[in-house]
Amino acid sequence: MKFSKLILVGALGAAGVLGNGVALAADTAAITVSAAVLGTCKFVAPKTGALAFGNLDPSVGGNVNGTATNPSFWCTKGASYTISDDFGVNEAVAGVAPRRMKHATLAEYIPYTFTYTATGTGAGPGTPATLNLAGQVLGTDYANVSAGNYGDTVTLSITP
Amino acid sequence: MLALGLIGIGANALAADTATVVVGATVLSKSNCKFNAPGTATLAFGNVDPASGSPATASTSLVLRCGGAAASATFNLTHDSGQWETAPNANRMKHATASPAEYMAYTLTLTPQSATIPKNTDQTITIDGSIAPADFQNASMGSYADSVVITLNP
Repeated sequence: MKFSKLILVGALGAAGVLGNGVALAADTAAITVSAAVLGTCKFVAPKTGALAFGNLDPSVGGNVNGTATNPSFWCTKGASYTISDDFGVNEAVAGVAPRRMKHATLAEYIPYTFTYTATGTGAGPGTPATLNLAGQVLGTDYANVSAGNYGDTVTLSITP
Repeated sequence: MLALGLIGIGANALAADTATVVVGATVLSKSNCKFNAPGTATLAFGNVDPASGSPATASTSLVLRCGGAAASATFNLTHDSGQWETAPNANRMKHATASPAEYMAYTLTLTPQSATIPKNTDQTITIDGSIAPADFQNASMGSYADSVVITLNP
C-alpha cells in the first residue's frame, strides 16, 4: 500500500513534467508567402491578320467592306487592355488618319477606314479574344485610280 | 509530496483496502530545438508572368539550433499547409481583392525536413516554393498571399 501511494504521487509528478515538456519541445516559425500575377497581353501566333478588299471595280462603284482575318490575343484575367495601331505605312501625315493603301508601283493611294475593338478586359491565355477588325473603301476613292494592286501594312500594339 | 504519502499509509492501514493505480510516464527528448530569431521568413514569388511556360519559384530560409543534454539531436519539421489549403500539402494563396475569392495553388518544401545535427550548431532550412504554369497562367491579375506555420520538434 505504501508502495502504491508513492507511485501515485510519482505519476502525478510525471504528468506535470509532461505538460511542461510538450510546451517546451516544439517551436514554430511563420512564413509569409506572396506573389503578384502581372497584367500582360500577347498576340497569339502567327501574330498576323488581314483585311482584304478584293477586286474594286470602278464600273460598279459603291463602298466596299473588307473581309477581315482577325489576329487573336489574350490578356491576364482581369487586366484592362488597350490596342492601338500605327496608321499603316502610307498615311499622308504620320500617325493621322486616313490610312491609305499604296499602288504596287505607282505613287497612288486609296484611303480606307480601319476599326477594331480597342479596349476590354482580359480573361487569361486560356480564353483568347479576337480583334473584331473591320474596314471600308469608299466608292469615290477608287473611281479614278490606276488599275493594279494596292496594299498597306498596319502594326497593332497592345498594352499592358 | 512526502506528507501526502504519509497520510496515505495511515488511511490504508486502517481500512485494509486496496487501490489500483494507473502508472504512466512520457520520456521527453533530451533535446530542445528552436528557430533562431526572428523565427519568420518571407517566401516572395515576386511578379509572375502569365505568358511564362515555366514554374514560378521562390526560396527563403530559416535557421534553427538544438540544445539539451544529448550531444546531437534529430529534429523534424512540419507545416500547416497555410490558411487556404484544400487538403494537407495542397497550399493556396488567396487573391487580395477578388470577389468571389480566387486562389492560386503552390507547393512548399522544407530541406532538410529532418536531420540529426550536433547540439548548439546552426542548421539552415531552405524553404522552396513553386507555382505551376497551369496554376498562374489563367489566374486573375493582382496580389496573392498566404501564411504558413512551420513547427519544429522536439
